[in-house]
Parts: sequence; structure tokens; C-alpha cells
Amino acid sequence: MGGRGATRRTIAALVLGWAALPLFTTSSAVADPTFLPPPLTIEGLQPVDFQNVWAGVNMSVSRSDPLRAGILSIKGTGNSEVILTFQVPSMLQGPGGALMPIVFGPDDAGFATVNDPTQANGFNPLGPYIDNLHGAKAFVFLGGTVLPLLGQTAGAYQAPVTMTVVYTGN
Amino acid sequence: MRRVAAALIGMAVLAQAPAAFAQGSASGSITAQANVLTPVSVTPQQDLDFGNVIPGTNKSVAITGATAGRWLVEGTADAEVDLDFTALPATLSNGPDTLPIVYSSVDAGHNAVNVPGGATVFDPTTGTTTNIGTPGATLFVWIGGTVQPAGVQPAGLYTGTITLQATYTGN
Repeated sequence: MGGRGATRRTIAALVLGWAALPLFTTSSAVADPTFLPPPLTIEGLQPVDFQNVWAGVNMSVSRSDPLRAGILSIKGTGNSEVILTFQVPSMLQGPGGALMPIVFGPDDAGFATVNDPTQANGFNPLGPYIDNLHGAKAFVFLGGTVLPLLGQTAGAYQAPVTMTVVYTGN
Repeated sequence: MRRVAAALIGMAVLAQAPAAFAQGSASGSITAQANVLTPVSVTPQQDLDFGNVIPGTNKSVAITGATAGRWLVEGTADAEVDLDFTALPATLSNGPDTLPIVYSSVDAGHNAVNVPGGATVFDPTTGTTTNIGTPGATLFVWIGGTVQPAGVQPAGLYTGTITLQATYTGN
């Protein structure tokens, strides 16, 4: 009897557990918003714009240049730690498939909690960077250098720069 | 039974994991962009020619005159350029003899098309900044001036070199 009773209890618990698990996680997310943080949103605000450049003459854009530096905004949970990674191009693509080299230095990216590049902490866009979303938002600034070749084909060049942001859980 | 329960709980947790991860990461993109300019070129098209001058009588050529000096500047349409006369002689020479030449504040002009009458005038001694024409990607530059032959100016052919330099400003 004791053994059968014990078996019945176990089965009952399993059935309850199977049914209750999805309910638990769903209701938990509603009742406790910190369990699942609000979705992170990334918005590209401004391109890295080298404007006019000359063949054979390198041109740099500083991350602190308010008009030409690239800007992205991050919105998420306040005081949450996030890790940023960039996918940056090595070439910009131009007319007829022409390519122009672009490079990024160890201080070409900046992170700030306000949209002011002069207040940003510099970091290397070629590696991961960890910081905190104080105030539930942040701004990331990006500069770089294009290296037009002698005889570089004239025209407009461009390439995408993608930033990925992930909560670390801290 | 404990193993079965643990497996079921594990499956439930795993089922929730992708949703949580998806909400915990995001990506966004911007563009890196640049415009490579066509190299700027300056081509002399016509000499500044005062023709025959009489000793003791000044003679002027306006930028709208048929014998005004003219250059063609070509480059990227709408790109801003500095126009500077890097050589602007104060005298023309004929061997050891010299003939003074002066320039007024309206003795240079530029226009996107070859129409000096519609040119924007500027002082050739200070230069100017303007934009290469759109859509032709051309800019015509004229120069005039005044020669001041002395009353005893020796006869002969007097020449000098005027050089125009066009430089992109980056704007």
C-alpha cells in the first residue's frame, strides 16, 4: 500500500508539474518584470560619414565628431550590464564594384549614457565591450578611417556597420 | 520517476530559454559612407592679352572682354574649391624691361558655364572659394587687369605668367 500510495503521489506531482511549468513562467514574467528584461532595442541614428575624400589621401572621422561620427542608440533595462560587439566592414563598396579600404582604431568607438560624444568612454570596436545601461538607455559613437587608393574610382562608397547588444545577466 | 520529472522540468526550462535569449539581445545597423572626388584639374584656355598698348596710356581688359584670360576647372560637381592665383605678376617682362600690371577687386570671375557676363567676380589678389558647377562639373575662371606703360616704355612684347590653383576644401 505504501508503495502504491507513493507511486500515485509521484504521478500526481508530475502531471501537475507538466501543466504548471508554462503557467509558472508566463505568470512570473508578468508579475516580476525583472525576471525577463524588456527587449533591447537598437536604433541607427546617424551614419559614419566621411563625406568627400580624395584618391590617395586617408580621411578619418573622430568618434567625437557630432556631425560625421556614426551614432546608435540602445534602449533596455536600467542598470543592466550589456556586452556590445560590432561587425565592421574592411571595405566600402563603390561604383561598379570598386572597393575602398576602411579601418577602425582602438579608440574609434565610444559609449555614453547621453547623446553627447564628448562624454563617451572610448573602446575598440574590433572587440567586445561591456558597460551598464544606466537610465535604461545609452548611445554608441563610431569613427574610423578610409584609405582611398591612388586612382580610386570616383563616386559614392558605403557598407553596413552592425552592432549587437546582449544582456550579460549582471 | 525522479529522472522523468527532472527531464520534464528540463524540457520545460529549455523551451523557455530561446524566448528569454531573444529578448536579451538585439542588433542595429548604420552605414559607413564616403564620396571619392574626381581629381580636380585646371586647364588654361586663353591668355590674357592686352594687344597693342601706347606708352603713357593705361590699358585694361575686363573679365568680360574678348581677350580676358580663361581657365577651365573640372572636378566633382558641387564640390567646394579654393581658387588662388599662385602666380600673379606685378610686372610683365621683355628682357630687362618691365611693364607694370595691376588688378582690381573685380578683375577675376568664375561661372559654371562659359559665360563671363554671368560670372561672380572676385579679387584675384585674395582668391575665393566657390563650388564646381552642377551638373556639368565645370567651372570657368576669368582674369583681367590693367597694364600701365610708362611714357618712355620701350617697345616690344611683354609677357608674364599667371597661375591658377584650384583645391578641394573637403566641403
